[in-house]
Amino acid sequence: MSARTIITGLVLTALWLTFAARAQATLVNPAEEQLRPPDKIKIVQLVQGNVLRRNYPDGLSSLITELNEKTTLPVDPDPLFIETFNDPRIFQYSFIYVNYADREDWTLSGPEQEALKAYLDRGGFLFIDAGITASFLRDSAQYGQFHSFAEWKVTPELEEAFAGIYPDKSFLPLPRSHPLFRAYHSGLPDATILPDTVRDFVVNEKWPQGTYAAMGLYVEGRLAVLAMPILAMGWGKNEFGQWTTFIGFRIREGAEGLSERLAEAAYSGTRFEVVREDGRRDTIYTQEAAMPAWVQEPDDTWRVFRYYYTQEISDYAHAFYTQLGVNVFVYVYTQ
Amino acid sequence: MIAYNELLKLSLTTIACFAMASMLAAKPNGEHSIPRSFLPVNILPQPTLSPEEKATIERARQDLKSSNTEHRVGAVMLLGKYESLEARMPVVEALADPEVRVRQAALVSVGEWNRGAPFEAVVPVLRLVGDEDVGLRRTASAAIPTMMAVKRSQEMIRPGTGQRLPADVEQILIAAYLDEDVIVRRNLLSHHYFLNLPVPGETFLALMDDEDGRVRLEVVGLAARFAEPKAFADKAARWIVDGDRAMRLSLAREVANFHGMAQLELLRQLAEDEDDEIAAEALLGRFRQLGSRPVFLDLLKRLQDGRIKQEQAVRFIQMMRLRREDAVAYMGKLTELQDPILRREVARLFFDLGFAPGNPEQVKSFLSDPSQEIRSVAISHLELRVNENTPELMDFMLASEYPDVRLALTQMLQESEGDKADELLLDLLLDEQTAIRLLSLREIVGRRVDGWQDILGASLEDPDFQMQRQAVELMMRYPAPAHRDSLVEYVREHPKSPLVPHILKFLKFTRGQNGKETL
Repeated sequence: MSARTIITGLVLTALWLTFAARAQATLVNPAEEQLRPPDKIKIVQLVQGNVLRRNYPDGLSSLITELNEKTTLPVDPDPLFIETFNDPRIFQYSFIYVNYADREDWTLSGPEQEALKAYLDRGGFLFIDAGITASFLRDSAQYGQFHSFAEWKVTPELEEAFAGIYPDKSFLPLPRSHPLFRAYHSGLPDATILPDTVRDFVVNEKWPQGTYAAMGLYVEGRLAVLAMPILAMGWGKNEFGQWTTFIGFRIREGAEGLSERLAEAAYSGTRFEVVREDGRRDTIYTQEAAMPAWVQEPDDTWRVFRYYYTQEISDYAHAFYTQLGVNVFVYVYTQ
Repeated sequence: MIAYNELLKLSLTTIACFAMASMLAAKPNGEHSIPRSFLPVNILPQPTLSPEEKATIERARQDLKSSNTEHRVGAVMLLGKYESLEARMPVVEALADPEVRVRQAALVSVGEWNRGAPFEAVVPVLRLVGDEDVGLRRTASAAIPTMMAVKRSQEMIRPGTGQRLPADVEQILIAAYLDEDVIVRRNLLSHHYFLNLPVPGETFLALMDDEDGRVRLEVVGLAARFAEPKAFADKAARWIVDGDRAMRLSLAREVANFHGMAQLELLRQLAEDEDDEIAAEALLGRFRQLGSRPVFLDLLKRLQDGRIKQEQAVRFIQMMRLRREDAVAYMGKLTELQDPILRREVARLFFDLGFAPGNPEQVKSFLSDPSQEIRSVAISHLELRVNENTPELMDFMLASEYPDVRLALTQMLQESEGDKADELLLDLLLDEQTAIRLLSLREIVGRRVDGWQDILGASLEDPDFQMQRQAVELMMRYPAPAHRDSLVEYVREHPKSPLVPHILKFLKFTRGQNGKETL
């Protein structure tokens, strides 16, 4: 047996041993993975005060059910409730959910500011449900629970709270092209069930391509805080799978000659401005408290706000909010 | 008799209007008054219109007479934004416009008014449930609860004026239960009890076979109530075999509301369902109707095995009162349940069934439960029977780690007399909770426990300011020379205390009585 043969034999043996070891690893490891159930993702929910009196108590739990049913995210059905951001347990989890109205005072104490900054700097995510309600809805935190007038601007309270944490950062509008809006569901739910006038407005203006008014705060280039108009009202389902709340739609409508009539119409309520996504402003006129009646748009078109309260519209809104909620969670855990 | 009825009607109307007017006048459009949109606009005082508003409304009213459909649509939209009858009545008339688009605009405006719609809108809106346009039928059928609320308000405020719906409208509504559009059918079923029309039972039976799952779920309760029992039982039996989970669960819930052999048989079959929630629901229905031991034991086993939902378990524990003797036998096991919400129900059952006197250790166990709700059930029971509480139990409460238990003891001692109560109050005076110390100090002083004056003097030095303030107030309320001296001393020792001006005022006022100047 020549030296060459021996060397070749040794090399082949070494190669075979290496290959066998790798093969064993690839054969054994997946099996082990399959045997071990995936760790559940725990969501932290901040509620200041009585947990039983939180807004839309079925909201988050039914969204979690939806996530567990529709996606591969294994989410623990029971959120961990905290009262303040300086609860040390937040550092064990990466997602905090808070309904804006579940915290009466958004003034953050020194320890809270420190804890929240440390949390966000380390990669934590905070989802503030609502918190960008238009000025006319800010007289009461509860107003924002029943209307979700899209303003592309966070409330002054949130602005101030986060200015204390990140003085050099501010909330920015999420562009319609943001991947969050396509993280799992893409586009709107099937809108054929909606009345024509409602469908046209929803598809083209209200929620184009399944997007929604959203403001984000970025930390190290990462979306760390997200504020959106109240979504939790669209998540609660009962044991028969039916939605537990009713949602109406506010639609802008016009008719031939109406613009001229509205421009000269008398109003007895308030007049205020709301910032659009592109920074331009709508001027809203109300006839009743916190209930917009008509609008003068930036191009000087005038339209009336029409309020639709029917079951199919409510169901549609629920479906969309659920879809949006799923997108938020999937985005956070996959980016 | 006529005169009496008229008088009664007039009195009721006057009272109702008076009450309503006072509520509305109390704070017009204010947060404490009834929102105006909750009442039909025609029974409220009309708003005073400015000349500009009058002009706007008048222009829109003229537009409504236009032959141009779009102008009429715009007019309806604009008029709908004003509250006065001058603006709203033309919108109501537009509900009968020949053009669908105008009728639709008017219907959405009426929907925006909610219960503030004028009574005159009720019949035209309900008539649209039979419109040729499906969108209008959907919107009108969704408005049934609001329209019936307007009708009720009208009847309440002006008895006799909210007449029965016209026969043709009733027929339209009854026919709409079988509308070709699924949303109209759903709406009619959801709002059935607002209308309360004599819908034939066969209609409900037919809808049990509807292609739409939600229609089937909505109709099952109505079919159980109004359809011929045998025919319903036959349909229901088919559901048990072929129906999906939601149908079987809904059936279990609805059938349990009606007594009868056929219903019991359906529940028996449903109790064998492979789905735990459905089976438990059927068992609960059977238990409520029969109260029998085998069903009790079956449910108890499910409870122990965790095969019953929490909400169902709560109902089961509440229903255990139907079988007191069995509840007695299993009370020990029930008190060991892990879920605090279930333990709270068990605690209620325990006290309601009169277990407390014979089971002092269990009472202590409830008082030591980590759940505050469970402790409060025990506390509520004990507070109603202060004189029956043993000294041993009171000592136990005194040593409790939970402030709510110690506070409850302090409150209970207010109704107890004797040396034991005095002794406990003195112990509670040393409690770490200020609220407990405050209450015991008041009680000690009120009942003049031996040494109460010294205790008051010492309380002035309590580290908690609330205690100091309480001691000062009590000293002023129960004047004594020793108190005066203590207060003078307090002022000297704590010249910057916020209580000093108050004390000085008191000392000045009572100076003459003591006959000497101390400061």
